[in-house]
Amino acid sequence: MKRIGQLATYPGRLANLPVMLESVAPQFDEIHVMLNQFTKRQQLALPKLANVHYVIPKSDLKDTGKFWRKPGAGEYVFLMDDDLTFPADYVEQMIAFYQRMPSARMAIGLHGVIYSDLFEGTPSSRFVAKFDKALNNPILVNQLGTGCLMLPGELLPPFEFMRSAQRFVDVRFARYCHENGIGMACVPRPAGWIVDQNAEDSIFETYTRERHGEQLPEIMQFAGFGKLDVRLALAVERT
Amino acid sequence: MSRGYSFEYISGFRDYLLPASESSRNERRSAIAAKWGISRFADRGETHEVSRNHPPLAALRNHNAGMSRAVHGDRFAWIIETLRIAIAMERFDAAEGMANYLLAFFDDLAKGNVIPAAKALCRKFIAFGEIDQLRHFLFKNIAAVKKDDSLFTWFSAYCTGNTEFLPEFATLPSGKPNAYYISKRMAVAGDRVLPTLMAAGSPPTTNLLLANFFATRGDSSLYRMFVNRVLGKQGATLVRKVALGEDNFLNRIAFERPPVVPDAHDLVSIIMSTHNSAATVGYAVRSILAQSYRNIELLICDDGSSDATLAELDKLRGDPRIRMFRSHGNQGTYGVRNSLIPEARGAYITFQDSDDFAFPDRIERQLAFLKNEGAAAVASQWFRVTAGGEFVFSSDQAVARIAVVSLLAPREVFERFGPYRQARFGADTEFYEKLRSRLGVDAVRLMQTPMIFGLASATSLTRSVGIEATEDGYRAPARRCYAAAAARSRHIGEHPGLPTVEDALIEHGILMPPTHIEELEVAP
Repeated sequence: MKRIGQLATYPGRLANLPVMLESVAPQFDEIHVMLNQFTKRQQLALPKLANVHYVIPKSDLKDTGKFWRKPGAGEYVFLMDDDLTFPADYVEQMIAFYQRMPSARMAIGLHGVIYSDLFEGTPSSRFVAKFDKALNNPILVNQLGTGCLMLPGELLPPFEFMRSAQRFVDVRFARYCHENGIGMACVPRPAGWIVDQNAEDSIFETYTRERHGEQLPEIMQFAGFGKLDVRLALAVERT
Repeated sequence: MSRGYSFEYISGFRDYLLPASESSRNERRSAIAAKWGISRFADRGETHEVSRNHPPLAALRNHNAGMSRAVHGDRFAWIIETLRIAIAMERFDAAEGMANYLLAFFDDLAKGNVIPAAKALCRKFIAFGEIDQLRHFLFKNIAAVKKDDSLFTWFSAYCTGNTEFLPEFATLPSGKPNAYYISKRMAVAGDRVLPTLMAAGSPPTTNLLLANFFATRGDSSLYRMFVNRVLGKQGATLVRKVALGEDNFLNRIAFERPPVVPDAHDLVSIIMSTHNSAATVGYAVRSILAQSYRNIELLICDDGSSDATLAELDKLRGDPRIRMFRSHGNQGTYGVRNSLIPEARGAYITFQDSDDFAFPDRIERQLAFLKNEGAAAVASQWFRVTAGGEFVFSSDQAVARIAVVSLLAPREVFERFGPYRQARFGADTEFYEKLRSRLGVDAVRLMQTPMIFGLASATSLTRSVGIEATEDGYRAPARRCYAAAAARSRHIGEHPGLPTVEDALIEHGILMPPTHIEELEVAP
């Protein structure tokens, strides 16, 4: 299976991106980077790595740029954020986790969310297994952060499905998984296995935290322990 | 494959999802209005404002706010409490999945979580009518059953034969009488029930079980004595005579006459709808006309009866306080209320069902309570009784329950927060909860005093096939859907991307289009 990385970035992250890419590039066969809002001059400043492919969109796709590329057969796709630092064994460990999962129709990640079954749109009505905190056991979740997850390429949502979710790709991705019977598991790790490079607020911090109410109907489709596949939840926790 | 939605009862839910905008919601509402002739909706798009003084919603907010910390600590304790809240709030849409999750992990629960989880699961099984699953679960968890009153009650009711009375189930683990079991088995119990009741002292529960005992024997004198023991302790007017017999005992009961209220300045309008109520409307109307508070008007609207209801009403026309109306077709109780509230002349408005018997001081006491307490609205309790006079106990062992039909409030309250939802049933509960959530529980009060005998009969709406709501907690699918949609609306408010409550009613065929009413001339 080929190991493919996909991410979207914008000029505000120029300082982070080279560090991030150079740390993960050796772990992948290919990395595809969507350069939102980049000028030609800014493009020239990017690291030239043999397996990193840059794509210039006609318009700003924001975070949906991660989903622009249609994967080929036989690929593991890793969605990544440009402001994280990944460990040297990230890809290897994630594939090992995936192969231990009880179902092939799964996405696995590090930032997991379970919403309240009586979710009313407030961000506190959620259980969050934050990506940089320790988690001792795997757990099935309602939603994975798309900044650090992997799945077989054939399970990746089509770009058209994601296109209108520029500011809430995690929610739309979770909805896709829910509608298509794809389980989402948050995998165990020690604290600090993934490091957040950036003190600047991410989209999650500045937008999602404020706007859960607007996504309420979409979130309510998959929110709560009661919306999890209980057989899969049991099997995941027993792995 | 999708695993279902928060709105699984609404088959077209996905159509509502995107695009979600205020205008799309308004378009849906306009389509419903045009098709069903509804000119005013029960929630008129006003800002969703929940009173700070509404403990159930405040408790849910706190519960949600502490979710991440709580789940990191004890996930199952959080789920159990959420399931309990969901069922208490009638958020049945959320309860089903949570119960499945909890059941799957039941064997992993910490010892302290077993009984709370078992109770929450049993409530869900009963609400959904999953009796085989309930029985299997209770037998499997018999150790918990022996320790807990609720689990024991359900075991006694569902896991023992209907045609036998087993004395060992007559007493709960706490030592209290198992009133629900005893009342359900009274007809087959015979004298074997007496030792339990004699040992239980004389709380209201025991006295009313003894009343039931004598009702099954047709002993009117002892029946009246035990009923009056309970009424007397509550300071209520006593029963003067009763004749238990073959027909409905509410036709043969009379209360002492309380003194007439001297300064009844404020006119109280009482609204009653009738639909095929010939057998009961006589006593229902007479119990209102016999009220100690005399300054009343009784607005009665026949809602498309096909039996002799109109002829029965004709016999009652002598009292000038009665105003008669007729619906063009059947629009349901709440359509009638919406039509009659603008016709009411009273400063206060309340309601009476056409098969209920109001105690003679009901209006007097409710109005006095409202004024003395400075409340915005007040409801009383009722006793549900069978035609044979037996008091109906709920599986939580209670016998007196809220009678939302008794809601009494200044007319401005109904004008501001109305109309009632045009539903076939249940809209008075929704209206009451809406008032509590908007005005707070200090403003919308419940008197802890029964003031109505509510008839529990096979023809009651709560017993009608497909729309049942029974004293054990079962709710038919249409009721679950409506209750869940209404509860969600109270909790979350109107959201452009979510289905309206009317969508839920239409899905289950329980939206009742309004019809015109006309006032009938008083015969010369």
